[in-house]
Amino acid sequence: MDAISKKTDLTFLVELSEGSNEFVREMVEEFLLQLPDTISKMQEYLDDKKWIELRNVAHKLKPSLDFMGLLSIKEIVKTLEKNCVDQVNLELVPGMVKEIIDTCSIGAEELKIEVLKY
Amino acid sequence: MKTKNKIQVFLVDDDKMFVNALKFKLNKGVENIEISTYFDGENCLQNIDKYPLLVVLDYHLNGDNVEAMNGMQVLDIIKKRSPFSEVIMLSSQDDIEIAMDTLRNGALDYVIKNEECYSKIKTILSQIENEITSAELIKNDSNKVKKITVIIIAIITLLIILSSII
Repeated sequence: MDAISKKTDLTFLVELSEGSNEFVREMVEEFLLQLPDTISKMQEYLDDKKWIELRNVAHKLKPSLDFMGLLSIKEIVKTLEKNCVDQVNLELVPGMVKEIIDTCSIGAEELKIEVLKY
Repeated sequence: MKTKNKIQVFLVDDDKMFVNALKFKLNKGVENIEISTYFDGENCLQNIDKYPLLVVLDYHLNGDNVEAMNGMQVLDIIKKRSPFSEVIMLSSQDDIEIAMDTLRNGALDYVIKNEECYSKIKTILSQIENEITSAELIKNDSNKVKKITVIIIAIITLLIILSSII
């Protein structure tokens, strides 16, 4: 997969690591460990229309997006949070959740390969 | 110069990845620091009798559990039970109202969780460490002056006694 179509980018995490491959590996492994639960909660809260709980899960995901370089969905997460808190444009929320879940899932597959370099 | 005791730092945030990253960054190249991590305010407060020098506290601590205390409630109790602990409040929101509220309630600083926050918190910790080192230097100098004064008085006393004998 070429760099342009990749969803993830570990540049920030590698900079933060100051050369510690162990740190990079641990952080990626923690993300991969947490992601299934995050996705499951997002889907559950969306199905149950629990907007505040959905906002809270999305909110907690944000630092991970920076670490894993999943920057293409950062703005979507922010908009999702705002819509859920303000209870506006809720008809757009399912599409946003799908975009977040799909991008994170593709990213996770990339990271499983990428982490082997560290 | 190293301080005698390790500097106690508490990191309080329910985001394990963020806590891991911050702990890694603060520990890097520093020996004189002991970092304890807590994933909620309640656990932090149970250990506040360790009187941490610095508490890095997330504003949004009750994301998973609405029954849990939020960052402002935890800040309030920390300042009552360990008034000399400095608190940095963390938030994902660049919200001036929240920032002013936390500062009014005794927080040292309000830091936005973004890519720069790790180095910013490390800088604040270094400043606090430098202040402690300076205070210890002043205390040491003051002790030296006291010791020299005692020796001079002892010598003068001795000379007076000797002169009276002779």
